[in-house]
Amino acid sequence: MTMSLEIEGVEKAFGPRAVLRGVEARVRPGEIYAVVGPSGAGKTTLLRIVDFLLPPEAGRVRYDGRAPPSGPIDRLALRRRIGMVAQNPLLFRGSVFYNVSYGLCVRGVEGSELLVRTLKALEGVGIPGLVNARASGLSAGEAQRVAFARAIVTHPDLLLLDEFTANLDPANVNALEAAVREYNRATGGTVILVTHNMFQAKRLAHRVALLLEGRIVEEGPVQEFFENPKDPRTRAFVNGEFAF
Amino acid sequence: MPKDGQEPMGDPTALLFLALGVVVGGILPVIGLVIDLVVIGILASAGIVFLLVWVVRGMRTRGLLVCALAFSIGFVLPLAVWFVLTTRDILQITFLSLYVTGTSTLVSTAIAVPLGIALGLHEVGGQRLVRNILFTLYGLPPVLAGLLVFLLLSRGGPLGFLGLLFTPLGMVIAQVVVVTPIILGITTSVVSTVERRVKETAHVLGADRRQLAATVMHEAAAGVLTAVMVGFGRAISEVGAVFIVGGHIQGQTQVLTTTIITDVQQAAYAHAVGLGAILLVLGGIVYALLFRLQERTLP
Amino acid sequence: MARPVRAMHFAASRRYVAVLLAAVVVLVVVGAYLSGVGRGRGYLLMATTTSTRDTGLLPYLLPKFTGDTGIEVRYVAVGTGQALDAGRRGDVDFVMVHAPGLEDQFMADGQGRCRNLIMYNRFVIVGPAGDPAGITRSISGADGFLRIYQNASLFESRADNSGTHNKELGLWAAAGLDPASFGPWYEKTNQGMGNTLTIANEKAAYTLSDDGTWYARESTLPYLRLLFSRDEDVLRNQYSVIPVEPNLHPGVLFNEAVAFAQWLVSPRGQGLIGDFTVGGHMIFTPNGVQAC
Repeated sequence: MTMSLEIEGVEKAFGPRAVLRGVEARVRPGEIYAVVGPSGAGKTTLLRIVDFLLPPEAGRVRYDGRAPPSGPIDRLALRRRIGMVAQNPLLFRGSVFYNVSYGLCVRGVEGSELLVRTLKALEGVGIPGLVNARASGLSAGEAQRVAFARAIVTHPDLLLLDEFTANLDPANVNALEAAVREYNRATGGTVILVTHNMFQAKRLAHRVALLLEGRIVEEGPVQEFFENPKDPRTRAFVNGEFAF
Repeated sequence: MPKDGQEPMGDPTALLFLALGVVVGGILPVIGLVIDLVVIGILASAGIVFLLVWVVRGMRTRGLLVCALAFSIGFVLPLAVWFVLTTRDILQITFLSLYVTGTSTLVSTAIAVPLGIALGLHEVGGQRLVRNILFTLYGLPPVLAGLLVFLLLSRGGPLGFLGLLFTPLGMVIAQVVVVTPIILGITTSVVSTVERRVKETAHVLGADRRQLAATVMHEAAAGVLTAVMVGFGRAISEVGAVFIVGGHIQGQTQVLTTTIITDVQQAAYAHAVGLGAILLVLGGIVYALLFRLQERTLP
Repeated sequence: MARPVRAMHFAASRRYVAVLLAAVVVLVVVGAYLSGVGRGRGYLLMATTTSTRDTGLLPYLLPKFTGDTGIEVRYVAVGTGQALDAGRRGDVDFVMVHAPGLEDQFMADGQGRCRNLIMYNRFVIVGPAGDPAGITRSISGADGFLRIYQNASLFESRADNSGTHNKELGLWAAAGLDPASFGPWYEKTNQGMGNTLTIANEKAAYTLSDDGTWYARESTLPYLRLLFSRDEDVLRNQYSVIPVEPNLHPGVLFNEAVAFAQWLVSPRGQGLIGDFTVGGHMIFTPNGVQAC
């Protein structure tokens, strides 16, 4: 299934340093929405707020038009509809199978369904042969693929990707991007892709937003964003004139 | 001199040294050599073998150690067999030692590990207080714990109606008091230093509180096993508390450690050394098993 | 494709926990059974001293009582003070000690129902083989102690308020000496007879011992000799058994304890005591007086 997201006036500060100063964004259900911007702009912070890992100072996020629930059970249910892949993901001690099947196990899936879905997710990222491998012995690319499989095996309605192919070689980048595209096509799940790699944004996203100095300065369809940006800062960013 | 690249010791050679040790160790009592020299004998023979083979064959060090060890074990075997066959109650004493140690370790684990996980996970406000109490308990001398349990379980004391003084269960209780803080402290430390990202990752993947605790425990499993091993080590070596609470009653509460004490009081040193050897072997077996288990829990 | 390994998920850890708890319950129940919880002790429990144990008398005597009466007797061997205290607490059914002064106090406090004298052995002075203080020529125990004092020879005192220790203090007093004024040659071990003998042996020192423990340990004390032994009244080491007062501790096995006390002063018990030897020496002189 899928999810829509409305980010309204979100502010976040860490001590005296204000990172997000009123972020406004609308993510449509089923789309791949890229957030680009220089390092330290607050992209990761934004994702963490969306995934309930940080509370905003002000503003709020609405999921499918509704405010996040307050009760712990409903909160958990909502969180279970969201998946996230970080840049240097932490894999649990044990096998690749343990890691990838973790989300399903937590949701009470067991037996042959667990087995089939886990293997399918591994096939989706091109590493079915690693199913029994130790997670600690994987290369960076393999680990990232495992983390991705781990996130999507539960079919999240919303998938958050935080610079998830940074530091990977082109082969791994291709494989993972293909997996994202396939996931979005097959399930219709919404994807928010945080990246500082504009080419990746161009390849994958339906819509792109620029996060600059704590605000979304422009968001729009991918083609327009890159070829005909409205904001001069966007133009400067796309042309690589920002030092980042 | 040993040459690198030489073939490592194979099993047949180690077995040969084992047999050699058995022969030498079996002859000694027959020709009347005093058993009190057993300890010196083991060390000396192992050392002699080491040097001899090093000079003569030039073997790699690892093989030498294995041979020396095999010889020592073979040397001790006839004496150990003779000892066990001629000593009354040895099996009962050993069984009781195992029972008291094993039960107290398991009971302490059952209490301390869940508590340690809870303490390590939740950044409770009173955490400093808890930590202070814990470190005080670390410093609690086991013999003092034994005294306190004695006063509790004595018929003149509050729990006297249970009739547990001078009984095996009383000894278990005393050891549980000693061992639980140790396992608790190490578990808490290990769990609280599990990377915060583990909890976060589990959280993001949709784990509820119970599942999160289980996952943290899974990550900390190697450390928790270390805690259990340290606790077991404490339990098997405990003597003061179990002496006070158990009373070293024949056929009832005599364990290996307390028997060593009374052997020394009666100057039966050879007997005491033999019991000590049994203690070492028991501990060694348990540790070997636990290490095996721990290997599977390493990342 | 290879069948994946069963991952260790929550079901597995729940299984481990269940196994652990089951093991704990089983073991504790076994322990409770072994400890006689709810059933009461199946045997008579005595508190006695390490000296009594060290003479080897108990492994000889107790099985014979069990054979005659079917009552099993076990014992905790601790210091005299703790033995009597165990009686006061009701942790044991009776005590067998050899400290008349402390026993009188015990009876006066109403802690014991009755007191049977059973046997005596002798206090002896042991010391280094060379006998530097020349006590073999002593005319009495007190005289021997005087010689030790005059020679300032190394002396080990048990200093544990046991019968032996109290006898030692009595001998110093009889010689007109006050241990508080002694120099560093007078050492206190605060331990039982066995350990004290071991220490005296290591240091080649004099000490007061009972002859039972001495003969039992003689072969392990190569640097000590028995230097003074005489049948003086004052050197008698009197043993008694005292069943604990049941009115104070209703749970004690009083009848069985009395049966044992009576058996010890019966012709059968007294005969066995007289027949007991260590290294060819008859240690105990039976002098049973029945009050129970």
